Amino acid sequence: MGTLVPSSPGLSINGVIYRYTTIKNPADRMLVHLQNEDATGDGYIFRETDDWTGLPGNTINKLVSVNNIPISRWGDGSIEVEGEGQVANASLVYTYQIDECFNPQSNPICPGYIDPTKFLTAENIVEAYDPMDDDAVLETLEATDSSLYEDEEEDESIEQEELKASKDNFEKGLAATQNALTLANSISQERILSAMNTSVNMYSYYATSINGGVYKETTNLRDSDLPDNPRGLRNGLAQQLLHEEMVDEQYKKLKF
Amino acid sequence: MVKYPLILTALCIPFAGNAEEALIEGNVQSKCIINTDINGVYGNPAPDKLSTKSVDGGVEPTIRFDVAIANYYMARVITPSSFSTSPSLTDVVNWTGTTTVGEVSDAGMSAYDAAKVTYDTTSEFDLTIAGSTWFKVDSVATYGFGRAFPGGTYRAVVQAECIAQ
Repeated sequence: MGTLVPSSPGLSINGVIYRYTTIKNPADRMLVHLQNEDATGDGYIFRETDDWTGLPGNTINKLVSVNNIPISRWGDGSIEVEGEGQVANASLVYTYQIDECFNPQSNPICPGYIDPTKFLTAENIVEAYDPMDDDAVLETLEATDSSLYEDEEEDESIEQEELKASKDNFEKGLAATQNALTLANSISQERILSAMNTSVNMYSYYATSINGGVYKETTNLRDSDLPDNPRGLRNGLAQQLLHEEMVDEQYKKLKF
Repeated sequence: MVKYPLILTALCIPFAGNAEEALIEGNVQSKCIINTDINGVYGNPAPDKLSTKSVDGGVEPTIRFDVAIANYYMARVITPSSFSTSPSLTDVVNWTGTTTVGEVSDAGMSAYDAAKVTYDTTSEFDLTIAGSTWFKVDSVATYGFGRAFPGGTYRAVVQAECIAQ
């Protein structure tokens, strides 16, 4: 049974609830055995058989009561199919009860409880020794040299101051480390966010596909003589004249 | 002649005496209990269709019959043939419904489906084995000839009875 049930003393199983679905042809012979081995001997401590022979498959939901069998007797459980067919979606629940008075000494209300204080007699009662009641101890603990006592106090105060100073330094160091870590964290988080935003912004462009496919050539040029454009000729001549006029202008300046 | 009055007197004595009635009382507790395990929900897979089938987005109601003694009871389940609550409907609603054995507490109960008697919207099952049987009901309603159901809440009732045989 392993860890299926708590390992409490006095635990006993009083019921088994199981559920499964059979997959089979109605005409087939099929027996389903749900069983637990007897941990203390041979055979089974629990065995329930459902006979599905000649019946269509279905889901069974069944409660089987058992007579408070101690958990120590419940061995490994299994579902065994005899014949043709399959078992699917099987679940099994053990119901149990715990006898609180399995050990009568666990609770004074249990029958058979024996009060342990009854066994105490005047002879076996041991009186506890308290050293603070011992005069010799108290005398030893008393301070004998007051000056030494004061020095000790002074030393202690110095030690405490030094300890406090070192503690302050340590706290400052920790604070500086913490600040640096916080700063580093904020920067790294900013970088991460920036990288995330970049990926979000850019991936949308990468993922976009433009519909349309191939744009085919629609213009056809037949082989023939292309005549010169007379208007272009005139325009070119005019530009040439203007160019020459502009070139001549600079020589005019030089002559001056 | 003297004897007659005496005889008559003797005969009259028993009739003139007190009469007593002894009361017998008894209680019969039904050995068949019906319980609704799951209430149904209509799915609306098409505008003109309401269905409890899971493929249509509905939930099939489940009714459990517990019988403590075998062969004394019959389960009768009647699928809906009208809405108990609905918006005003001006066209005909076509109803279909089936009742099937969903789960059993004994393998032998799985034969109930094959032995059921069905008429109109009623299915009857002989409860020949003591224990619990879960019956699943599916109900489908279609409106007019491809007309959309008006918006609103629709309710229908599945009737389950345990009849002593």
